[in-house]
Amino acid sequence: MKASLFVTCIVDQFYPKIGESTFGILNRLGIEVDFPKGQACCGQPMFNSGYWNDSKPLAKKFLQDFSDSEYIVLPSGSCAAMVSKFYAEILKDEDAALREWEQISPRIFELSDFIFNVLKIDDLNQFVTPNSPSGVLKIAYHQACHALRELNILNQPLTLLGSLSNVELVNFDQEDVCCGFGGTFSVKFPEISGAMLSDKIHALRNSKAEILTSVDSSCLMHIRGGIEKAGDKIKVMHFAEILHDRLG
Amino acid sequence: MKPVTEKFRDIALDTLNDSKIQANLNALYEGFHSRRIAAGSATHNWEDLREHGRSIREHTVENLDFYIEILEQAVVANGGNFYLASDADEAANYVVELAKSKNVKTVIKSKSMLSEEMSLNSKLEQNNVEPIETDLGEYIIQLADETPFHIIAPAMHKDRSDVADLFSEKLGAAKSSDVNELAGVARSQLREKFFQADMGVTGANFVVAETGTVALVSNEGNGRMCTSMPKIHVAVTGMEKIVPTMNELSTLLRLLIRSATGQWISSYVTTINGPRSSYDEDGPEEFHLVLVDNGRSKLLSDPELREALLCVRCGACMNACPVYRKVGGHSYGWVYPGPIGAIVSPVLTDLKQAKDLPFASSLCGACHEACPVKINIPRMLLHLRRKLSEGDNDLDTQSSSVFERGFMKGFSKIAGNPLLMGFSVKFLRVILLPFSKNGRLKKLPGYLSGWTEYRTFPIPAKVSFRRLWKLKNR
Amino acid sequence: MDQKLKTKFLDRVKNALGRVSDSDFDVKKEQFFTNPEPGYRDAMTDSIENAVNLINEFEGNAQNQGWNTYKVSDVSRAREVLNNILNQIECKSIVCTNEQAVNLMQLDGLLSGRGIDICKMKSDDQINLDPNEKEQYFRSVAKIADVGITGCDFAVAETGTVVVIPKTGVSRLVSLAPPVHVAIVFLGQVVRSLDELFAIRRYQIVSGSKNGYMNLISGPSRSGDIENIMIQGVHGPGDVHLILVEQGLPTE
Repeated sequence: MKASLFVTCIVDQFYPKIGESTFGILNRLGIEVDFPKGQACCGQPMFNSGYWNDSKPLAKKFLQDFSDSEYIVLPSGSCAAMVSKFYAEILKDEDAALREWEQISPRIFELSDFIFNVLKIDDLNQFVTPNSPSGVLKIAYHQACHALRELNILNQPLTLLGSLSNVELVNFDQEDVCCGFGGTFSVKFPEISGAMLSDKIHALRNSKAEILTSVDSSCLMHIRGGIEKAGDKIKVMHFAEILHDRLG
Repeated sequence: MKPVTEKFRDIALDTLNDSKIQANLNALYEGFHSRRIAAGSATHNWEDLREHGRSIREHTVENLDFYIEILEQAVVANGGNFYLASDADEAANYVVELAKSKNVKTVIKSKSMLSEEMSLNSKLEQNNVEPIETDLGEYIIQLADETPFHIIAPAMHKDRSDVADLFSEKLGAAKSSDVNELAGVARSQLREKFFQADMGVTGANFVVAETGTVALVSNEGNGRMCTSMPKIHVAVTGMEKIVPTMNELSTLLRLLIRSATGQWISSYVTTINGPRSSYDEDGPEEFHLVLVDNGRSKLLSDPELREALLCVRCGACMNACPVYRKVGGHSYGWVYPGPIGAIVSPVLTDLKQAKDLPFASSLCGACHEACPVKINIPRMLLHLRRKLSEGDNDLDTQSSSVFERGFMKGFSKIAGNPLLMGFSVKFLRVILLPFSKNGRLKKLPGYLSGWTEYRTFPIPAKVSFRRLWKLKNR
Repeated sequence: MDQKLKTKFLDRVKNALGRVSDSDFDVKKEQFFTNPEPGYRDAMTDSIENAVNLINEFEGNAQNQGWNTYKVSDVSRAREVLNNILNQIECKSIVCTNEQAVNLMQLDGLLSGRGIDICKMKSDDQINLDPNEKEQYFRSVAKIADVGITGCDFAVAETGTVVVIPKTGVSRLVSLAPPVHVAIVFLGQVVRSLDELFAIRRYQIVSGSKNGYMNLISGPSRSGDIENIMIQGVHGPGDVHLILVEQGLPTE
């Protein structure tokens, strides 16, 4: 089975290791991964800020770059929601592009969703290597909002993480509440965003978690930034990185 | 109510710094929010009810002109008076003129958000008519000369010592820290008013077109008092509150009550079909229904915003909203706060004046998930953002700065071109590197300093993913 | 209302909806309103055929809503229970409705010699007052009464609700003004859910019922407006009792 990786801006430019982990995991699960090299930004920052005309060329570029892909896999819930759902709003008046998008949209998946629902894998133990760490890591999962509410992603990452014997999933208070990132919201309303983040960090501090993970690198960037500023010990790793680490 | 939507940032900041209000707001998660979820789970067909409720509301809104005519016929046939007010001022005038013509001295009021739109209380006072709020929360804020903080629990920002101080100052009551005693003060103060008042003004949770029925949901009993004791009863509400027949009330009441407070049913639901008849022992002799537009037709005329009229005013969205739970109701600057308020308040007052409201959201979708009739609030917020940033179809809603528009255009060009993007980010890294430590920046300049107030910022990676891929696959 | 203002209002709504013509008013009137009778018949039949189950389901949900409930086998047990309830309260005056359920309690006999004032709407001792004076008198008594006693028109099993429709002999105040309310529900009065209740009520109104007010009472008056702490008895009764009689109301 082949899949194209849509790496997303933040991973590409800030956290390339997440891209590498995503690629590595997919390979390990038997997928031949290609990387359409013309790929660019999905246009979410412009769209969320109300500049739909500025996001339109990016939507069309996406369709161009990925038109031949059997599957398109993203390590980001919010970008996956953007390209698989919100493009419908942007392309509303563009019949041809809209129809193209309608063809491609069912083939777009966030990573955990792809593994669980397309590859039909719910237990990762079969993929464990001799290098897999033996100690159990206490991991908390942040319910990234766009993934959760736009794409119904919760059971997939939790099941996959929970299936690993060297992972213990731990809960924390109000884990279904937004971290306060919200894209440009975090810059336009930093005090509100900061207050929401502070609640999140507080809840994590009161939990048993050693690691926080999620399927959205932008949420993680925001939470990690707050944890570092507060000087807390908890580590932040992307879902793909955790899988890569735990499988060995 | 005079909109102060432009004060969003200031009031939000004050609220963020008020630890007492923060504690009360935080309590919403375990309170109303969790109780709504529990009530929904305990209802065996909750999802079917939501679908049904939505379809009832959609059908009625799509046929609103028809149902208004039916409603008028029914109200008049019941012996009631029917008035269509184009805006809040017209509605207020109707009530004030009615009060004057009937020599009304005191008006007892049951909760009505529309009466807030009308600034009815101050208009009555200006005309020497005394308005008395009888809902405990509304009574408290009336004494405090404030506006409602939440549409279901208007005084939720106050704790018992605030209320005790208020009652002591305004009513001469002895200070108590017992909530029962405080409620007892309100009860005895208001009881006399109930029996003496000349006119009762209420809202309406729903208005039934076929039978001309006003449905009122309450817990305290003040709604019943206001519609039983005085000689005149006036109900004022938004025109979108219509439902076709009494049959629909069962679904909508379940959705409203269980979503608002998590109660299985409220202590009282009262349905009123006009004034008393000769077969009644008591009750008002006159009944007036005032149906108000006040900008709702603006929502109606925009197919992307029409969905906002499906709202049953339960407050579930604001209980679920992580932003509301930080900034509280006063920040939104008008009658309707929280997620639905971020749409309704700007459109009904002035979009440009309220330009912060649609942007003060992380678009997390908790409101959409919470809404009993599944209103897609984030989608409408995005449409409002578009109107403000780009101007949509008519440029007069555009209020974004030239700088921001230019920035987005430039950003779009760069982000759409992998070569340009790679170049720009590399350039960025070169500039930021000297200021960073271990790949992190502790302070960003100017407009972006808000980020580093609360977070470190990572500098771009030395080698981007696509460069790594290129190198690996040579 | 003024026709010009009405037309202006409706035109704005029609424009907003993109209406081109409004000749479909009569068509809609035909299509949108179903016949209320079948729903009414089904609801009434259900409440009679399943009366025992429904009164039991009602009892449980009423308790959850904060009613103090007492299930009794017949009218004489009901009178005993009522007596007990009234004994627990410092009761100097009672207001009650003039309806069959309450009349069966024979309050005068039950409470004779205890010095309790019993005021019932339209009772003989008020016969010399004109209607307005009678109403004012009843109001003044209700205002200071300790207990209000009513029957009901219906009860709703789903929600633990007692339905009171004010009419001749049944004032709005009896279940509202005093701090204590006792309601008496008989077998066969309980309907399954809010769906049945509103189907019945719709039918009644559409068929021309002149009693246009209905109270659904589901427990004590309450409020959570201060610190979200639930308190009882704000403006309506804070102490509410339900006597459930496992016999049908005798036909009068």
